This record gives sequence, structure tokens and C-alpha cells, in this order.
Amino acid sequence: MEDKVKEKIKEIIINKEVDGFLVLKRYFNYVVPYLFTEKNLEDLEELSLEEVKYPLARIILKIKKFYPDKKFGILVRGCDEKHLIELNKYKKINLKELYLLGINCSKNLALKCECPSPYTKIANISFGERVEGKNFEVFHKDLSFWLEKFSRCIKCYGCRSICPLCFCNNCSLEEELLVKRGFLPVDYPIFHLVRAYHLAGRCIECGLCEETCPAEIPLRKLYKEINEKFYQIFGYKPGEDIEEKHPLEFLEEEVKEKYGI
Amino acid sequence: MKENIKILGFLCQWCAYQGADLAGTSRLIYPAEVKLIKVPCSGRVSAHIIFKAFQKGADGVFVAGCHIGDCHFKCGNIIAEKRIKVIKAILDSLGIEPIRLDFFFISASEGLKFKKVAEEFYAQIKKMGSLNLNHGR
Repeated sequence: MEDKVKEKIKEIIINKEVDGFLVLKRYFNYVVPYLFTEKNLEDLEELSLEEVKYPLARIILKIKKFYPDKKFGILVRGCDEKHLIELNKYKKINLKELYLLGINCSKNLALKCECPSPYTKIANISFGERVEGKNFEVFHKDLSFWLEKFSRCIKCYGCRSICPLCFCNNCSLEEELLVKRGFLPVDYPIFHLVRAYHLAGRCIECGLCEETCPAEIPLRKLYKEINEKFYQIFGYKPGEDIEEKHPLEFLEEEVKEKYGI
Repeated sequence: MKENIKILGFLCQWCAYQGADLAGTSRLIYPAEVKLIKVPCSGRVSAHIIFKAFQKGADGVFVAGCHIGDCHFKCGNIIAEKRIKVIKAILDSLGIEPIRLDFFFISASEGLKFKKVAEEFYAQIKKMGSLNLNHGR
């Protein structure tokens, strides 16, 4: 599969379908994101398809900021694709300006991530065999469990910084009036719940936050449960449909339609 | 030991607060545990404010705004109502009873409705007892 992917990337770069292609590359013992362009095509040998999670969507956002007119390609797995769908909804990135090269995850990875949809849906081309994922069970705990977990927080902002869907320029969790600076422990549970609120109906449950968290707070399970309740109330699931809109945002049209104000 | 219940209400200054004012001027009696805060619009009450209220010791929080279509800012109350629904879901996932939080539509002329709402909400919270979110802090 790796050779096919390399060939395809080479082909679309030489054909000038894209100006640059963002993938993971081997670098000593690590895997790092790397932008392949016409100039460094020979490095393509070191391309890596290792099964690691990496917030590539966040990196493409940054690259796009510096080169708004160029067209880029990006390697996506199921979760990266969902990130891009959500970012497209909030007009942070235009899916039409991207070339998506999809990779379907293996059964092992799907089980490890407990991913319900480890395959790509809207990618221009996708490689790998499509396997069905599994839905993991709902995780319901009581208040004391969560307070104990939240009290371990060291306020590193890791969950906020790695999340591709936390794209606001001014984060309310950095507002001096709301969250006191240089003060530990953080105001739990407010700190975590405010983030949970902002991600309700936006989180696509990729699990990057949980993986990053040094205090091992099961954030993904919390967001997952909230998202399930969100679905029961509004009937909206993030990362599924490109056209569907978040029920709490984009109110103007809905209000005009429903109430005529 | 007698439990002290604290209830916090965020009332929009155009409708619900005027309604509470009317209840006061018409000498209607509502539970003294219900403390009220005037806000510019019910849509202003963000998630942060509600969680902070719970953390600082409120056992029940309610937000009241204008009826749909009457909002001074067009759709503040619609935003607030939806937001409260989401926050209720979050409280539920944490194991806090979601009925500790509620949203009401109260207009400026509904002093009686305000009294009824405050009494019912108070009775509901009193049945559940106080909420300890402070975790021994």
C-alpha cells in the first residue's frame, strides 16, 4: 500500500494538481508531519504510514494561513476527514481547495481507537481495505468520580492546544476574568465543563485530547456521552454530513424560517 | 441540621426582571431563597456563568427570558433556551440531576407566573437537597 500511496503523491505533485502534500515522515525514530513539494520529492522514500494519531488538520490550517492561494493535498484517515468536514462548516478551510488522499484504518487500529467509522467517506481517492469499526459502550459515572479526575488537572491546556476543532482566536479559557492565571488547582469542574460545552456537537471523538492529557482525564468518554445526549435532543451528529449545520450556530436563518422574526 | 437551599435566577432585564418586579410591587410572596440577578439578555448567560454559580454553592439555577418573538435582541432567548438544553445534558453526564437547571419564559406582565415558577422550582430543589460541587474545598 505504501508504494501505491507514494506513486500517487508523486503523480499529483508532478501533474501540478496540488502545490504541496502534507503527510507524516520518518525522522530518526519519530514520525513528524512534512510537506512534500516539487523541490523535495526525493524525500518521499521516507514517507510513513505508521498508525499514529496526529492532528494533521491543525497543521494544514496553519499552512493555509501562510499560503492562502495554493492548493494542498493531505493524507487523511477517518478522523482527520471528520475534522476537515467540521472545519469546512465553520469556514476555516475550504474542502474544495484540498486534495484528500484517504487511508482506511486496519482492524487493529480501529479496535485500539474504539472507532465506529475507521474509513474515509469523501476522500478523492482511498487506499486500504475498508473494515467496520465498533461502537464502544456508554460510560456513566457519578459526580465524585469526575471531580476526582478533574482535580488532577495541571492546567497545561494540552487538550485545547491539540484539538483541531478548538480554532477560536480568543479562547474563553484564557480570559483573565474567567480563569485566574497562574493559579493551581484550576477551577474544576468549571474549566473542563466549559470546554465540554464548547465541544458539544462539535467534538468528533478522535481521542487526541485524552491521549495528550498528562493527568489521564478520560475526556473523550465525557465528550462522547455528551454528544450522545446532544444527538437525542437535536438529532445532530458532528462530522457526518457536509451540509448539515450545528443547531446552536447559524441561528439567523432558522429563526427567520421558524418564527418569522 | 437544617439545610439551606440556595437558588439563583438570571433574569433578562426587559421581560423577566420586570415580571419579578411586578410580583414584588403586587406583594406576591415567593421563597426568599430565590436570589435574582439582572442580566442584559438571557442569551448573555454563558455556560461559564452557570457552572460558576453551581460551583460557588448554588443548588439550583434558572434562567428566565422573554417569550419567543419578544426578545429585545431578536433571538437571545432562543439561544439561551438551546444552551440550557445542552448544559442540562452535560450536568446529566456528570451525574448531577439535570432538573437543577431550567429555563422559563416570563414576560413583564406575568408577576403571578413568576411567583408560581419560583415556588415550584424551589419545591423541586428542596426535595433533592443541596448539591456539593466544592469537593471539600
